[in-house]
Amino acid sequence: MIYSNYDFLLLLPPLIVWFYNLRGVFAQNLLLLTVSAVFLAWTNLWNLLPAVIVLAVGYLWFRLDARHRLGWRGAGLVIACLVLQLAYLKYRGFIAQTFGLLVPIPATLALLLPLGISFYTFEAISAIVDIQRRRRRVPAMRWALFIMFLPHLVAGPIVRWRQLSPQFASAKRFHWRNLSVGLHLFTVGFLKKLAADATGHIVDPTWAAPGQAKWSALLLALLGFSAQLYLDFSGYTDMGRGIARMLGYRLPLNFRAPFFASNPGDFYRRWHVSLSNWIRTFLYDTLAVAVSRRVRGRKWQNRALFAVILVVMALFGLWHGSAWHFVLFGVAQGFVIAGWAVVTKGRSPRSRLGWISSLLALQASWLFSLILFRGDSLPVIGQFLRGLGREGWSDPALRWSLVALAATILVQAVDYYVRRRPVARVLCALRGTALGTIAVAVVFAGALALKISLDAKRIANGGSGEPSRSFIYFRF
Amino acid sequence: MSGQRLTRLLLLGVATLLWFAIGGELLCRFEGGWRLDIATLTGRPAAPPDPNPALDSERALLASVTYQKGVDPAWFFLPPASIEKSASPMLRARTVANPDGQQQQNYLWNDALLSHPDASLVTLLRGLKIATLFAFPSFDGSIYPHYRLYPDNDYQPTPWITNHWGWLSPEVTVQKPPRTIRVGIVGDSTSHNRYGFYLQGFLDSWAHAHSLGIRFEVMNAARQGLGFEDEMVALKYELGPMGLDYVYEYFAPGFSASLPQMVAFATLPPGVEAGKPPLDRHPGLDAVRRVLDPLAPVSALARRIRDEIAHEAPDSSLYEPTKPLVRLHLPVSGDKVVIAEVVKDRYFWSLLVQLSHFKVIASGLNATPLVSTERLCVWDGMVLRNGSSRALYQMLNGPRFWPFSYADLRRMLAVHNGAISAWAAANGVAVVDIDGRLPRRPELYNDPYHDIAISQRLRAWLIFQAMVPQLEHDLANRLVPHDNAEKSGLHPYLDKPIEVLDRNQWLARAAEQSSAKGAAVSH
Repeated sequence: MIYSNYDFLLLLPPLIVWFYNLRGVFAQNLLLLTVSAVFLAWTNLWNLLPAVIVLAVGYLWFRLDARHRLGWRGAGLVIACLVLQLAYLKYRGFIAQTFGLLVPIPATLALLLPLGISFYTFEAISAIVDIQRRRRRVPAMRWALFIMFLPHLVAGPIVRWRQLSPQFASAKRFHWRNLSVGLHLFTVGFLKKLAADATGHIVDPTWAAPGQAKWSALLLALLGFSAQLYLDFSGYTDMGRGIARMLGYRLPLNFRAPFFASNPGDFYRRWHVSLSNWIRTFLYDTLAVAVSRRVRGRKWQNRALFAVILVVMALFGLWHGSAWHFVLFGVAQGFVIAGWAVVTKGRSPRSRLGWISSLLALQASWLFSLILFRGDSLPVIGQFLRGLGREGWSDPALRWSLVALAATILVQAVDYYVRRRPVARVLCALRGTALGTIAVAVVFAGALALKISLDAKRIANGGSGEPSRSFIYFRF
Repeated sequence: MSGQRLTRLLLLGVATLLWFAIGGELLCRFEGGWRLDIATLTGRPAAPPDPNPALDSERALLASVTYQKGVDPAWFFLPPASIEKSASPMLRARTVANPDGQQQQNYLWNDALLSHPDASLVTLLRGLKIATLFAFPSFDGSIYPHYRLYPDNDYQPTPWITNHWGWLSPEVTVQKPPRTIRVGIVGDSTSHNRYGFYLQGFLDSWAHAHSLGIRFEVMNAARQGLGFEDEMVALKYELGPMGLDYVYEYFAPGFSASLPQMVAFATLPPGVEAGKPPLDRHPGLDAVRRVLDPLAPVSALARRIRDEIAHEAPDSSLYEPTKPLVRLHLPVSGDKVVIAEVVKDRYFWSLLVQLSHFKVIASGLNATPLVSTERLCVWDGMVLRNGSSRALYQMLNGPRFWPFSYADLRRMLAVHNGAISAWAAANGVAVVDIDGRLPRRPELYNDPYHDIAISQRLRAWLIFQAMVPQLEHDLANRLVPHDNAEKSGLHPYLDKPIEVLDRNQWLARAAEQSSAKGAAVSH
């Protein structure tokens, strides 16, 4: 089940109605927890197992720590357990291929990549660190909901304990404004997902066999995939934020017009913000501080920090998937970040031309890294790179990927400029009114009708009844 | 809780149930392709077929199996070699009368076999609705090959017509045209398909692209149910006079054809009997099914729930059931096989003897042999989709393989294929690594042995790529084409008239023989 599936669209209205009809925080939280568990187990019951292990291990540690003061060593042990589970379920194939280390696994789990495991493992780690620092009592229900909260369960945003857990402390009361704003966010995400699926249909054949495509087709497929990735992932988080808001919760922004970033640091403050923050806080800062303490001399410290960036970004790449091409993607981005800092010496562009140049250079490096990201294997990546030198014009269908990219930039441009206060104030005021709600509802109904007509056509042509593609980020 | 609130929650509960029931029904009807405006489940009219079916998935598969330099993937999509002729009406009438079965009504039986039939053959022929049997004179007095395919027969459901010697190939003459390289294929049902046509197309495209001035003729003499002896006699007497330059043999299904052979590699736990899986029924689920069955004709939701419970929905996942722990004792572990170690085992000794025999016969015909690793569609941890792989699942977890797990079968196959590769390396024979290179996609298979059309084509693509280096070497050294075809222009074994026997007379004679044999045994 995914947010844009009919199954979920059928589930959402009763969930909202029941949620606000239950009295008391416990009943509301229990309902949310139950629906979240059903959501996770919908495609495969075994998806629940690793999540339950994370919940149980984490909660057991909180109880033991409260009684015996186990301290940071205990927390480290628990974090190691969580990382081991993640490595076992997600990276055992990669470990077997790379190191020849075959790890036995039951047949039922062998092909299972538990849904959202990377996200909730990272959330659990951050929560354990936060709780250890602040020495707070952790109620079981709040801990369970923090991990299993439906709107961020399988693809983020990766929230911190202090951001989300206080919201589970009190019962939610119905407000039209929450419903209206939530529906607005959900509709925006829904439209993005429709566009991402359409773009995927256009570019996927070229990515499947890049060895036969001409350079123009490959370039368009690359641009199209860049748009698809943004639409897909930001669409998912928009929908998640919308669902949360309809229920009276708030999740942080995860994308802030990343294509308008003018340097890599800025890019990662705009792209998958919650993961970037997590990586910076828990990996980069820790390693950078450790390195700075041990290495003497400015020159050597800079070199060591350069190495830290590469290592952290390689792990960032590996987080996306258990294959070497993801590691290469991360390393390539690491080189971009470090190289950018060396070339610009940390200075921002002063003129408009300079800003546009850096924006284009950054996007070019991002597109190159996406070849490493999207290519299914190193041979496919090699075929893609070689194909960029192959002469010839593209399939006309692929030109739609340019349209998708233009639409993506337009969406981000609106997002970018709407944040300027006068416009933002008007829009925020408008979407909370009855008129704004009706307008959003009409747009959503139109988008749903479009989806139904597309699916009906596909089913009539003998296609599967699966209404939507999975979100790309579900794989991670 | 106040009465008013309780009433409100009850009403809400009823409304929720109605919402899910009506919404679920509409959704299941929509996704299942049923009409929404008629109560009983009626399929929506299908859209006309797409005139340009997408080749996306084929392109992806092709990309994963293309490895040879100088090979253009575009050739994969060119039309294969073809045979232009119409099927014999007389044979078609016999097929119409016997719609079930594997076209045995039109087999040409070896007359030596018909003279000494076993009980299974008598049973088979007694069950057919035919007045006559076709027979050919045995090539060497033996009962091998048991049968040939009748010329000009339409072997449905795959639309092909056998050539005038009963092969699955374009028409060829005994006399070898100039600058023609001939490739023979021998095998069983796993080769009884169209891949020879594709192989010829790929080879011709390659020769044309490199302006070699040569052409290819691929002759596929494979047929269902043949054993090794059948195949070798067919190679020697049917294909031999054609002047082969290369001959390819696919040795499937090897060890996995026989459960006793697999059991010989293993120690089963006490109480476990090979070939007898436990019944996989759950009384609770059966009760739910009984409730839902009457609703299924009118409710898509009930149908979907029932199918999900029984794992019969098209997208249900089929996991390997729990199996008893079997201890395998293979001569080696893994696929790095040393011949001296495996040859001590009876099965592997027999396999290596067969490979050597094949090489000797091929060499005797002045043809270069090619062998292949074997593909059994099974992998450790394999999860199947009900819609595409139900038959595969039932076979792998049914009596044929019980109690061997997917992992056990893979381990046995690894040693089997390792032995073939080791033998090929020691004997300088090219090996086509079908198992190593074909995509590990269960939906490409009908059962563990037999692949679907696209997979057969991919197999031809792999054989073609494996042949390219050998061809380049042989052409550069002017080693092919050979001038080794029968000079008379007549096939010494196949150009003989087909004998037609009265089936009832033959059955009566077989019964007499059987009773005489029984009397001799009792004395």
